[in-house]
Amino acid sequence: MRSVILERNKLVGRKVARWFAATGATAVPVDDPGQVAAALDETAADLLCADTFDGDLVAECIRARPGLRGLLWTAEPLRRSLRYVAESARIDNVLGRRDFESPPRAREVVMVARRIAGAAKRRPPHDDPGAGRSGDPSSGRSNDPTGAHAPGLAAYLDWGFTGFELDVRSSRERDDAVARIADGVHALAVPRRVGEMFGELAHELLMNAMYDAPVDAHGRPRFAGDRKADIVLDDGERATVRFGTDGSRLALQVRDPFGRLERHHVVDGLARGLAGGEMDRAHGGAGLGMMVCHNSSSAMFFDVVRGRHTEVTALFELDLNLREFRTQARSLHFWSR
Amino acid sequence: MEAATHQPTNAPAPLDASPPKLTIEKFADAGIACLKFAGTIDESFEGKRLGDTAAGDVLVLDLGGVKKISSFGIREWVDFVGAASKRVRSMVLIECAPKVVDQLNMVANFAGGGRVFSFYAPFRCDYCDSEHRVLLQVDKDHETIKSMKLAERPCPSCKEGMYFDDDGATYFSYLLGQEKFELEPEVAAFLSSKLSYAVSDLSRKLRVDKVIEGRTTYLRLAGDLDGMFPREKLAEGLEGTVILDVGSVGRIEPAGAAEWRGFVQMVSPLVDALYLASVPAAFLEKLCGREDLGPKGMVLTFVLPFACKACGTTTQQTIDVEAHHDVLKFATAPELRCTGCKGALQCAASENLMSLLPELPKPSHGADLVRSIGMLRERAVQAAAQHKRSDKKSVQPIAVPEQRTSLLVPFLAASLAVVLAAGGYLAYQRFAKSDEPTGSVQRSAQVRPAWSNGLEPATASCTAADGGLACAGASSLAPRQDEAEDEAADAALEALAHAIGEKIADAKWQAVVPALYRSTRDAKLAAFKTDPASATARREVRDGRRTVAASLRASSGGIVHGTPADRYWEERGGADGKRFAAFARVGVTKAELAKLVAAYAKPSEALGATVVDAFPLVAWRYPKLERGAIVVGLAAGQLQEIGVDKGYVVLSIDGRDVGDGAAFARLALDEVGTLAIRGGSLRLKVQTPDPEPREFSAAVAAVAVDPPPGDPKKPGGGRTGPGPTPTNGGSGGVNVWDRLGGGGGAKGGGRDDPNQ
Repeated sequence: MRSVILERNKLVGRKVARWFAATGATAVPVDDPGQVAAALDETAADLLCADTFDGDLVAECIRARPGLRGLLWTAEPLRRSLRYVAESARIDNVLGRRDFESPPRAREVVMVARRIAGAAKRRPPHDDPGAGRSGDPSSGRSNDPTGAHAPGLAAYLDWGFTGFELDVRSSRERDDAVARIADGVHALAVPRRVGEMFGELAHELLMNAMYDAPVDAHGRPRFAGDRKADIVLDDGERATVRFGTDGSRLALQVRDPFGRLERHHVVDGLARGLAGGEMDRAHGGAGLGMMVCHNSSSAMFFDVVRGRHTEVTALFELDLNLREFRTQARSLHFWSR
Repeated sequence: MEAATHQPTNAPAPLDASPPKLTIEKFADAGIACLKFAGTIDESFEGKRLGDTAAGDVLVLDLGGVKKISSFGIREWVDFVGAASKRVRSMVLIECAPKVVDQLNMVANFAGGGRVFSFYAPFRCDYCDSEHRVLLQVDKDHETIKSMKLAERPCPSCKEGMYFDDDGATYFSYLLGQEKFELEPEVAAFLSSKLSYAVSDLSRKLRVDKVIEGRTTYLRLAGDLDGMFPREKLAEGLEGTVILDVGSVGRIEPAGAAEWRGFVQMVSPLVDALYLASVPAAFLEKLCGREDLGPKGMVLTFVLPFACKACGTTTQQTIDVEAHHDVLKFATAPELRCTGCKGALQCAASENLMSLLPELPKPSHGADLVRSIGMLRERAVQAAAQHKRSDKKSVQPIAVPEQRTSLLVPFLAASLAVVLAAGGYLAYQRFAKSDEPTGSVQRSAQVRPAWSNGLEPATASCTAADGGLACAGASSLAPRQDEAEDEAADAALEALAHAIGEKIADAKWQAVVPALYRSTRDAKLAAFKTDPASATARREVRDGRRTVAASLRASSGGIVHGTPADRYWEERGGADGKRFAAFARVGVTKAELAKLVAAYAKPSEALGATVVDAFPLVAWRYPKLERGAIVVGLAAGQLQEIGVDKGYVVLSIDGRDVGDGAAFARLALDEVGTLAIRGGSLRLKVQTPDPEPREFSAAVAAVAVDPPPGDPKKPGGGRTGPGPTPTNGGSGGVNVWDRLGGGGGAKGGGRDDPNQ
């Protein structure tokens, strides 16, 4: 993968370039938007990275170069970046950063760079071999050398993390899982609100996995019309929730075996929520699930293999107090095969 | 009033004994209903169905117990508020939990047509790792909300500072878009008296509605029973059979209980019988013993909570004492059936309450009397509402309500006989705003004194008089004469304190002391000037002046006392009933003024600090501060080293109160001297710019018996311990050796030993 990194802060630009280089990619940092076109042409780059401040330039370059993808980072609310994600199908990743003097999180940059590079190699799609159902969340560690596929919790947390994985088939199991996740957070002696928030997030993601995702043989939603109904899913339909923490971060991953989540579900849901919170009742729910995810996490990762699975991962930084968390720029990543 | 608790009707049947996800308690009285939510609002919440059951005039939603709201719960909630808002005149959201505030910020139309009156702000204390919630109201905390910043405040657990644990711009975003409003008085009264919510001081005031039917007088009391209970005025003219409907009495304070007992004692000889109706449990426990009821007092009906296990509801049931006396005398509750499922109800009252039941005398009345209470109550409420509506429409002075129909404040009726000439109206027209009472009906003197002319409501001014000062103050329009007179006197005294402050010429004093109160004082006065109709602004000015006046009286060495030299008041009739405006004048002679100026500016020095007496106007900023010493100068010394700064007010030293500047110097010297002997900590309680006082301390080591060789001149040379090193020998700038009999110069080893 060849990338051009437009970052006006040279130190930050160099640092991000180094992280890209560590994944085997070539990275050319530039600090002047006027140099971007030349750098793209010289390197035949397939990825342009920049702050959302330069989002117009990124969008323009992408329009002009068919093979080029875009990656944004931002220290501002996600709404500004979402505009570019909505307008361009080749911008799927937004990385939050603390301020304009700070780079995005190294772990996230490396993961995204590897996955983009892996996707660029156009391997034939197959399910994530590491995301098994063994009950050990660390089993989700990807052995994929290209990094193209959804990683397990190990990719999001530091070595030595702990967690659990639960299968969820019924409303009762959903409530038990939510309670266990909230208990898991409370056990870390973090503010009570964090536990409540994460429990709420788990409930939201599980509701989507259990009620929105399942379809019948004709592709018609099975339960989306009545969310009040108690349901029991078949073994092949069950949702899986993984929760893990390394003491600095919380990670929550919910997976369904249907792979029906579309990019526009995510983007439209976030756009509607961030624009003023108008509900969308067209699909049985309130259409605010994405906003709940956004408000409860530092970073969201959506991995979809169409017809195979949808996996949503949410991260929360425990070292921030809630006031800092509120103002923190959020990350959004959408992967689809 | 009724109360009901239920969980969502279609919630899945619990498989175990786990508590319901969401409980909704309902309280209703007349046209006001309150739904209290606690738990999780999710897909099991039947929003529309519940909304369709809403009825009445005002619906209050208490959301303080909401823990979680799922996205589908949001949908149900929006359906609920949408349906409910169509069925009631207005909807008010109170005590919104942070989770609810998040949703208000995130979801369009989450409040439906309702308005948020109060909400919780999340606070966190890192010292003791605890979380707390602080209740804010859109009326009194409007400025705070606008500023989007909440100051740190003491943690209720550890008293260290806790901080607002959210982003102000995000958290207050919805509330900033909502206009400031105040609760309707009926709603405020309902919330404060029935449900013990903290709403506003005004709402807790006792209101009395009265209906006279033949020989029966019905009095409906609503509000808190406190020391302001007007027992004498209420007792005036009572005769025959008196029914006191106390169902809407809220909190009972000890002073209120004493007033009530006095009232019962006062009316017992005048009336044939004194019946209490709809007595709430708290009233029954505190004021319905044999002695409390007196020889003619009897409880007609009282209220007990009953639970229905079959349908999971809890309701308040009115018990007729005469009808159930045979059961009550055995301290048992009557057997009742649930009106919903017809199942047996179980009494949920406390054992303490049940033990009082056998003492209740059996009333000797007919069943007709109990039945008539409902009708009388309805008439009283209707008459009060009609009275209010007619008041609102009329811009003319209202007619005195006929005593035999309904009176909002009946005890004022007797004083309305004298209607003064129109000249009073002209003299008082400054008070006659379109929405305020008009028409003077009574006054303390035939002619309004000249010194009160030109004074706007709630203002004060001072004039020089023979080298002294004369300060006159005017009250705002108050519901009681004594309140108005107190307010006027406080305004005059506050103006006097302000004038004294301006006479102080000392540069250090002027550089430090006025800065402590000026901005707070100016802001509160400006807020009131900008919006004189604001109850909050008026209250803040009134309270500020009261504390300043009290401080002036206490600190003036007897020069300023509580009684004004001149007083004048007027009574006005108007839209909200009778109101009083009062004026007061206080003064000091030239000699007294000079003495006060000198006293407040007199500096005292210790520990490197120059201090003066706490000046009364500082009470604007620190209402609880009554005495202390203000630091106006700071040189090197122990006070500076421990972090005390200019403008701080020292309140106590080692737990001993600092009354004034001189006391500070005396206590400081004494304490440092003691510490030099024994060692220990110098502990000062100091009012800093933070709202609550802080403690400053520094370890002070006992002076060594033998100073280290080579450093014989340093008295603190042998000090040990981790405390800060004083620049002049560990005494904080005070030569403790002199006080202990040592010399200031070189000392022999023996003389340096304080034990000698």
